[in-house]
Amino acid sequence: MITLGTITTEKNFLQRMEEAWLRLNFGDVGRSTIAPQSDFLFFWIFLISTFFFVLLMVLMVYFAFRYRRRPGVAPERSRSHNTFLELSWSVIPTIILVWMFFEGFWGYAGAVIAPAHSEEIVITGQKWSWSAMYSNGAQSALTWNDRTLLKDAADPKDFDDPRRRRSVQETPVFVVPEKYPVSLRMSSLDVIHAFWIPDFRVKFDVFPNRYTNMWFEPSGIDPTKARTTTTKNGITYTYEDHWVYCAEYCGASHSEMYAIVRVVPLAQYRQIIKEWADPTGTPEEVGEKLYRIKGCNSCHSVDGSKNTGPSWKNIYGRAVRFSDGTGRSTEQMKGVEFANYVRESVYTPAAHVVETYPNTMTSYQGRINPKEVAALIAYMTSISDNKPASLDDVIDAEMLRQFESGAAPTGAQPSPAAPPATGAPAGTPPQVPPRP
Amino acid sequence: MTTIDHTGLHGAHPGHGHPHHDESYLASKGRGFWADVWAWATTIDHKRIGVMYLIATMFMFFLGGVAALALRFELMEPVRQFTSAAGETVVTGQTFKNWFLPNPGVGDNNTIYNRIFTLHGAIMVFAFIIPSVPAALGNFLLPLMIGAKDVAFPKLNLASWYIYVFGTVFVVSAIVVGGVDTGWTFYTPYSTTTDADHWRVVAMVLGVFIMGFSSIFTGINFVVTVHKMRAPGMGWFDMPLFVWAIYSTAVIQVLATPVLGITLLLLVFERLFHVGIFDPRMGGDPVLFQHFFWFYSHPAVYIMILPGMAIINETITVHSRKKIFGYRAIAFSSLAIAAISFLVWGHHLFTSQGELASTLFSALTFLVAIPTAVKVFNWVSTLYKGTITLNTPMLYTLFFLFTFTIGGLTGLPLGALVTDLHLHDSYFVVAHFHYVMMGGTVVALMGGLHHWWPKMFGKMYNERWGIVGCILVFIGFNLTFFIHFIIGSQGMPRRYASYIDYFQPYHIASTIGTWFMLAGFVIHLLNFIHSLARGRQAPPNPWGGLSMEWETSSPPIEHNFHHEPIVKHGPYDFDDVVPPHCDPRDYPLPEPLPEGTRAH
Repeated sequence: MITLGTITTEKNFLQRMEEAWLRLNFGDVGRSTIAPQSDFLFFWIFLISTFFFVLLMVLMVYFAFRYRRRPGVAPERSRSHNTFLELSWSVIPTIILVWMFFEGFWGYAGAVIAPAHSEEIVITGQKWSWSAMYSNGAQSALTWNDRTLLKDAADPKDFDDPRRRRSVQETPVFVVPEKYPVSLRMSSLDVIHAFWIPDFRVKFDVFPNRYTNMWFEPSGIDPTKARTTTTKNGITYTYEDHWVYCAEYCGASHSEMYAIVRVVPLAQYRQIIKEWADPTGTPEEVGEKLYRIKGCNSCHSVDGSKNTGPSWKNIYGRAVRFSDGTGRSTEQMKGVEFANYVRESVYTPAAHVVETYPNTMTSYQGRINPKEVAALIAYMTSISDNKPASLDDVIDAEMLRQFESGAAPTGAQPSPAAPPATGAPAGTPPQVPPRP
Repeated sequence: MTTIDHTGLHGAHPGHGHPHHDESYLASKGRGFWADVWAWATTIDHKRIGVMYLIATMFMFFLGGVAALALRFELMEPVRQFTSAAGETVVTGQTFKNWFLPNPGVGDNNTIYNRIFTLHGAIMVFAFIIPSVPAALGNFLLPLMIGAKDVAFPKLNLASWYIYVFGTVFVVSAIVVGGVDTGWTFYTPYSTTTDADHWRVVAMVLGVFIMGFSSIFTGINFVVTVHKMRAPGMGWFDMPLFVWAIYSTAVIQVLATPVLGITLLLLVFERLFHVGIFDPRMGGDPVLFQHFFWFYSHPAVYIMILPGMAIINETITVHSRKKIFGYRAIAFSSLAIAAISFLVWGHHLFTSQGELASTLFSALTFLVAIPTAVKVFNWVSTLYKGTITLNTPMLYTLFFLFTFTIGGLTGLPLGALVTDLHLHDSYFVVAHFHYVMMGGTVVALMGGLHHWWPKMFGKMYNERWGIVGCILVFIGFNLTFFIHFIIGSQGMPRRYASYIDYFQPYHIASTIGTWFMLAGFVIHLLNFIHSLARGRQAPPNPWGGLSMEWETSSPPIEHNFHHEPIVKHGPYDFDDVVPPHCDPRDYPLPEPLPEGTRAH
């Protein structure tokens, strides 16, 4: 088997051929520790299939030419049954198929059972976005698209990379530690989705009524693809990005249900999720982060462009009409009335649906607390032309004071960055125990 | 050869039957146009019903094909939003954005794309591939091949056609009023929650439910016909292999379709009466639906491909004038495929079910590969030392062997567990089943249609244009779908209206492939129309076939045979029998075997 990424070992001819073929077929070798098992089997199935296919086609074309019809020439008698031949083309494929089954089974056994010391990340799918919660309660506050390039460090290279997608909506970015097993506990809020990371060769469905698990260990950051970036708080890290797709059809924006898995060194991974666990700042700043963290960005734009839901740009003081025929005037979309409208839309979205938009939003009851709603309201007013004179006109002063105290607005109590199960201090690569 | 008492074949047979019995089944009764329409609408002649099925299924193929062209056209450009040099936001690739929408503002490009792929899948599977070969060619040929006057239950046969048309009306009406976007698989809970205020999903599901009965009726008819109505002297192993494969198909249709019916009814119950069966919010289990659905739909895959194999058994032998290699192996492999097909549905659920179930289903899936491989080896061996004519049916047969072998072999990484975790629900799967369904069944159907066209309509088609069409379809098919294997393993998911820029060149090439296919099919259509209008009169046995349908005239008379046929030779005894109605100089036989020896 080939070891990938930064480590290269001596390869024999077949292994080099396998790698060349994989690069040709997949565009790249697999980037997780499970991938070589999958690619190895795929490569051998390909070789065996090619052998039989070429054999059959060469015979077929040769026969079709050699025994073409010639007028007046009588055919030769030949057998229409041959026990030895018929047995051999039943038994030989059977033996090969048994081998394929067992190879597939052993690889699968390794791919479904996560090592005990894995870093657990909770993945939630909903129409049509992914969100991740880390072991310290943090949620990803990073998104990517071509307009913003990278929220915290613009790298023009990203725009030209054909592997990138010029996205209609912002794509959430999840970080995972390099060379460390990651276990995903996944569930859905509405219909069935599937979490697929093609570069890691793993996929599993995400259900509304149960948890499913999937794990992988990123095999490293490929130096030829690595990029470096710095966060606002000064964490500098190198990374390699991989696409995540929803692979189970889930409705209108199924093909927009993307995420990016960003492999970063373990030490920086810990620092980043610590930073994310604690969004601080003015209500507007916190609101902007929550807009991404809570997945609002998957349906609501902030630049006025039309998406699944109404845009938040200029929403403050914008008259709306609802699908039931009622509506709100410009004045009713200002001040406390606006705040109440947003609260209603967050907690009971079906109560009033803006005309021409589908009624697909699920309630955020229990997922966004009142303080977080206040932050989102502050963010909406900040991106509207009709700004209120003061935020006090919209949001209760008592609530606004809480932001000055700097308390974390996320529902979960942020715990200190979780130490790995091995107890290694953050910042140094842990000693990974041998696989059971 | 099969057959028949030759004394009755040529000309009128005095003093026997009514005169119109000797007329072609297509012939008008001469009492005016509306009388003819009424005669067709109320016919219980299996040949006329077969032709009616052929027209109906070909119309659905046309509808589904238009949808496929639209899908591929949309995929030529990913939906992109970027900022232009002038600082404006530009959105490209929204091919369907300005199409008719029932609720303006709700639907966007994606919604229309989703509705069209649902239309394509549902029509092609339920209204085209499943009924096409068994109900159109099977209806026409099965009684002729076993020397019967008709199927066992002619009125049930006619009823099945009307039920089929009634079902398609439901499906098409759901589409006409705006479409359904569940995909042809109707996975819950999406299908029970989407589009909540409308009856469209219910209409579509009911349409498929109704079509299921037409499938069951046809299946029952064929099972009884094969058991009870074979001509005197025709044992089970004297039947053409076409009949064996259609018989296996009929058994699956009768056993599996009711499960689909029950599942779809449960879906309708859940939507209309809110009985919680599949929706977790009402205490149901969404994976249960997948198990129910694939318990039918996996055997349905073999309902689709076995008739394709049925056609190949006939075309490959007749056009290479060679006894089929391993008759019994092929016959039993049809039955084996039919039996194992009921045990492998779980391989559609490798990423959604438990580890033990996945392991068992993976093992059973590999089992079904063996009889399939045996068939392909047998077909290629049949060519050995044959007398091969490369006309349109034979080219389609070789085309089938090429694409079906690829389709079968690419099933292996999907059946192996670890590789399927990656390939599941990707374009690799799309490519795999198109190579089996289209490269298998549709290609075989095209070959079969050319092969039996002279028999069905009494006119020859233009061979040169037939070959041109076949080659265009071959190029277009492989260009369109081979690319899907590559982008699938590189990470292109199914049912995506938009994708990363990297895949765009592949998608453009694939779309160009569909235009080649379109050109090929249009040529075939024009060739057939030309043949009906101006074609040369077909002789009773233009290819030198030995099965019984070649005994009677082209087109067959209303009662199929002038006399009750008696089997005197097997359907593949090309080495020993001069085909009926043929000049022995055109079909020279090898030296006869010495007395007392037996052919292998």
